[in-house]
Amino acid sequence: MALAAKPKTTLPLDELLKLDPSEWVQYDEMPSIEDLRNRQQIYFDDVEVGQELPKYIRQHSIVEMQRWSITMENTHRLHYDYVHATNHDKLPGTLFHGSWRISLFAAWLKNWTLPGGWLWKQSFQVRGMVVANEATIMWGKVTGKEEKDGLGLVHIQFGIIGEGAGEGAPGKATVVLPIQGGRPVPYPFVPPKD
Amino acid sequence: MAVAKPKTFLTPAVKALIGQETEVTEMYGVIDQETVRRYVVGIPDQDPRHWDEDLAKERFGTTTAPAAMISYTALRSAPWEEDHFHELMLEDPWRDQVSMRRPDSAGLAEVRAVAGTRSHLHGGDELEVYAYPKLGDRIFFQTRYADIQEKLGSNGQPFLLITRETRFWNQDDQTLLILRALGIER
Repeated sequence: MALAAKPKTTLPLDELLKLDPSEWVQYDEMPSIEDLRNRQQIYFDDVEVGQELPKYIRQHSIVEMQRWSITMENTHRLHYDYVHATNHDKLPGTLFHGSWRISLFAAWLKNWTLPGGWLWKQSFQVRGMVVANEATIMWGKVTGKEEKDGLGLVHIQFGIIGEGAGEGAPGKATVVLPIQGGRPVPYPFVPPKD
Repeated sequence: MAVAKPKTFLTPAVKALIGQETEVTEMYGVIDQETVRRYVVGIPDQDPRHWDEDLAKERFGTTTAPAAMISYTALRSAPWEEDHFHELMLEDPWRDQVSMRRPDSAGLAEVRAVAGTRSHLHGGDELEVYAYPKLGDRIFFQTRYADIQEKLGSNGQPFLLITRETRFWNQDDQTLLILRALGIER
């Protein structure tokens, strides 16, 4: 049976954090395949400092963690073996993969720039543990924008807030958006000249 | 009473590791549709440009792939590597894991062996993306110690912040991705 697409309701991050974490997932803004296919371009001109990016809100289960372990051929038990994680490693549950964060952030930032922008740089620190079934919010906010060599550089602060440990992966990124009436963002990507 | 100066891990021998690099290595096999499919559903990153050539070709020339995919697949093991899973798990049923990476994946000398540190933490990652791998691409990569710095923790004890930088490129010498993995040794 196909699952019906949910209507997407958005809340600013500070409002969301006032809710009980069990309610967070109702405000997930992860796009569907068709949303991505038909995505309308966000131009550099449309972006404002302080603007929030769509929040991907998940409650990853042990089954999804196991799927990522299979995908990347990572056999480490602390990601899928609850008994081992809690008894042997004395962890509160099976652990969310650091390696998974790289691709989750990259997909989320890329999706925001579609169809004509580009994720150029992203970096984050691993600060906190997330365990299976914990609600998490992947959030981002525009912190700056600059025009360089005819391209629109947008600087973003982001992270993953978990219901248990708070901000667990603070990071920053630079994405490139086209400017209205300007040149297309090159592919393969060529960094702008200073 | 004088406070003892904490021991430094950043000895001349550790500093000498900065710039050390691996040989250039080629990924087993080529970029293929099944590998792309596995990462598209595993992440999930279901951007239809990853499989719909009509949608992707105007901008990208062909279908795309998740940006960081090659940072995982580059280290996959070839089928002719002898399998030791069973023996290793018999030896220690509580073993945390058995690596599925290629046997030569370590590449660089371990900082721990030089610095005398005892534990490692994943500190974070930095990514620079230049192009997506295409179906049929051969992938090459090389890793180096880009930087090793000493910091003081909140407990006043030193630790090493290690940056291992890996560049990935294709058969046309086109850089696709640069990944900097940040490790903490103490």
